[in-house]
This record gives sequence, structure tokens and C-alpha cells, in this order.
Amino acid sequence: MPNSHLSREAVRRAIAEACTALVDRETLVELVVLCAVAGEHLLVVGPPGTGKSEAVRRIARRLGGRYFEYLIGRFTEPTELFGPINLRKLKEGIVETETAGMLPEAEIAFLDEVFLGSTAILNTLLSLLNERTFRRGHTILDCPLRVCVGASNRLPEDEQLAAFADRFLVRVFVEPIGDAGLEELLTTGWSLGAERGSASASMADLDVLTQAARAMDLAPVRPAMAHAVRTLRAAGIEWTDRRIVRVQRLVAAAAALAGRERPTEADLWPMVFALPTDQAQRLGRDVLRDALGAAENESLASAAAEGSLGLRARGAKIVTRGSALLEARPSAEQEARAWRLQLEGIAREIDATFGQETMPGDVAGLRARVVEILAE
Amino acid sequence: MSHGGIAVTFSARGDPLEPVGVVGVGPAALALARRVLAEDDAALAAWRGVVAQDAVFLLGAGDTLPWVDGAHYLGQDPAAPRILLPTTHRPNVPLEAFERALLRHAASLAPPLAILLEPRCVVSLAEARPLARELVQKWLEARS
Repeated sequence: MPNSHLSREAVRRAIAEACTALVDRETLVELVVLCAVAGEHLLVVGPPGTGKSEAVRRIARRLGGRYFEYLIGRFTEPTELFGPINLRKLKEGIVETETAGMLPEAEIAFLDEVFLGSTAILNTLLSLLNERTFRRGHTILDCPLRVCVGASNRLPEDEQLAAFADRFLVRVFVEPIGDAGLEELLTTGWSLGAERGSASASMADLDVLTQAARAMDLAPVRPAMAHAVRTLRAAGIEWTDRRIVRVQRLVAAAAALAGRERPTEADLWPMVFALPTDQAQRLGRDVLRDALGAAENESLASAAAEGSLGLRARGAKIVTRGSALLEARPSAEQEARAWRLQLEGIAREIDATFGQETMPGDVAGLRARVVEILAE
Repeated sequence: MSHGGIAVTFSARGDPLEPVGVVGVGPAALALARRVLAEDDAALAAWRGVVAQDAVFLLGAGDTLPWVDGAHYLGQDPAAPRILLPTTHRPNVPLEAFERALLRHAASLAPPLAILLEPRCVVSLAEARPLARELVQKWLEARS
């Protein structure tokens, strides 16, 4: 796959640019990319106003795909999502939908309050999500959808809706920004509206990585995956067989995004994000701590760290954040104090995470640079 | 560290604890005291602390704790909530048993107890109080 290196670099650039000035939403951005490469869908669960749509919009813009976004309500008509009925054709007795610019033609989609959709909407969505096919009346279309991100305040309790929700393999549970990030949130939020980045990757880049992932032989990691599933079951975590099977796509996509030719135990961390509830994910991280200890992904450093809690992945995330911070040294005196406090935060995280015997070389290198600057 | 004839060693943990405290000993204690004094009163009020002969302990929310080179962070494992351990290390014996043995062995010290590895010692943090700037200043002046 001669282009996969270039495609991976382009996607990494897109992630980095999308995350600039976004506070604490790196994992969400990275998981959108993981799902897009895996051909799976993502559900974001959390209160309104927590940056869900902004994060998805930003990565969609950087990936350069045709983007469709809609806030669904109880009275949303199917035409608002899928397009209006062609009235000229209707006079001839043909029910045809004009899909230009609507969800059936989107490559990346964000559907807020997705579970509020009517039965007609959810049924049409089901085949769109499962088969990438739009069926309505006489219109049958293959859809170019790479990833659909659904959002909701909470997981549905209704059985039928829960079955629909199961189509979103990856789940992310977001909280409002914590106390420590409020200054950064206020600063970046002030300038957020001005963000007008252009695409640094393309759907073709995603497709190259998707092909690389689909061509992978997962046999070497299946015993470890089966062991992890048994460990989760022993801890009382139940998930559907469909999710267990499909999580292989995430593992392969993680390996492709990490630049590996075949998946290893470093790529098992997405299993945690396929667990259906917040509680299951928290428990899953804990019981799989040893199994995911080798987790690492240069392209998806934040998600790998959050999924695994492994030292290698945490180190990679710290290095990414610390290096970006070092490059952003302000020239203005009044900004220097806030910047030094952020550097202290990096040093604190390093020292609270690693002993001398566990500190990776790149983390030690970052620490040395940070200590030198803080001593000035 | 030995309790009832069992030698307890510590090894690096793959699941570091969230920091709830920081300790500086020797030169790091002096640096920590200076770093604390650089903060305004509101920040100081958010921390509780203990100043000992050669050490400064601060307790507070993990992401507000100061950093100085050479300081060590302390965390609380749910399995042993009455002791504070280095965030990066765990004992080679079950934590519940270690906590019980330690509290029995150091019965004169009121919990929570902080375990330091360098130098190896146990310190009671029961007297931790909101930090008074004058106290830290006096402690620092006495060592300058």
C-alpha cells in the first residue's frame, strides 16, 4: 500500500489541526477518525453545550468530506434529513427523493438528539447506517457515508431504540470541562468562532487506510481479544455478539492508523470504547488494565491513552501535548505566566505517572526540556 | 520497610494513582515552599499542608498541585484509603494487609499516613491545615 504512509500523515495533520483550540475533546475527534476508517458509527452521550458538534464539525472540515449536520426533534420530517419529494415525478406516480446536499449524499454526518427521530426516520437511518443504502419510495441509492456521529443526552431505555443504538459501535461519554481546564476553555472559546480551516486530508486518504485495515490478518490478536472478552464477561460486563465481532474492525483500523502492517496487542484499546455504557467502560478499563498495557497509537494518542490507561499510551499523549505546548511559547509577557503554569501541569503529570524505571525515553526528553524552561 | 518480619518492597505500578498530595524533602522542600509563596492567598487557601523538619507536604485537588523538580506526588488507592502512597509505586504485598499492618505498627501516628520511599519513612498528615503564608515564610527563613 504505497500511499498509506502519506494518507496516515495527512489524517494525523487533520486531527492535530482540528484539535487546535479545542479543550479536552481530542479523544472524540480521534474516535471520529477511527470510526471513519473502520466504517463504523459513533454515539456521543453527554449534556448539551459540551462541544460535541464543534468537535465533529472541525474534524469533518479538516478531512474535507461532504458534511451534513442536523438537530432532530420530535416533529422533524424525513424530508428535512433525506431531501424533499420530487413533486414533478410524484404527479407521474413516482415517489422520488431529491437528495442533493442532504444526508444520503453526506460522507460525514452529525445527527444531534438522534433518538428523537420518528419511526420513519429511524427505519430509513437503519439501512443507511447498516448498509450505506438509502431506500425511500422509488429511490434507492448507495450512500458514500464514512461515519455517522449520533448525539444524545442519555442512552435510550426503550428496547426498540436500544436496538437502533446498538448500530453505533463506538460510544463516547462526555462531561463538561473540569475546573482545571476552565481558563483554557474561556480563552479558546473566545476565538473559536474565527476558526476557518481548510481540509488537510481527503476522503481518498481515509479510503486508503480503510483498505489497509480491511486487508489485515487479525488471526494473531484473536486469542488476546477472546481473552479480553472473557475477562469482561467475568466482571459482569455484557455486550452483544454483534459488537464483539465488529470490534475487530476497530482494532484493524487502529493498527492502520498506527502504521502497523498487522495488528498487535497495542491495538486492542478500542474494545473499551465499544462497551455500551459509561459504567461498563469504566469497569472495562480497570479489568483490562493488564491486557491493554501495551496500548499505543501515534495517530490517536489521546484515545489510546483514555481507552487503556496504559503507561505507553499515556506517555505518548503527554509527549504530544507537551511538544505542542513547547512550540506555542508566547512572546507577550502577560501570557507567559499562564503558559508556564501549563508547562508545570505537564511536569506534574509526568512525575505523577512515571517512576524513573518506567519513564519512556521520549517522555524523559520532554521532561528535561520542560525542567530547563521552568528553571529560567 | 519490614512489618512483622515480612520485608516490604515497592515496585513501579502500571496504573499510577491520581495525585492528591505532593511532598518535597530536603532541597525539594525549600523549592516547594518558595513555589507556594509565589501563589496568592486564594490559591494557598485551596491547599492543606504540613511542614516538618525537612519536608513540606501539600494536599489538594490533583490538577491544582504545584510542581517543583524533585518533589514526589502522593495518591490514595481505594483498597487502602487511610494511607497515601507514591502515585507511581505499590508495595509487593496486598494493599489492605499493608495498610492494616502499617496502622498497627505506627499506632502512635494518626491517619492518614503518607509513605515516602526516599527517605523511607511514614508521616502522619492528620494535622494538615489550610496553609498560612506566615508559617511557610518562617519555616523557609529558618532554613535560609
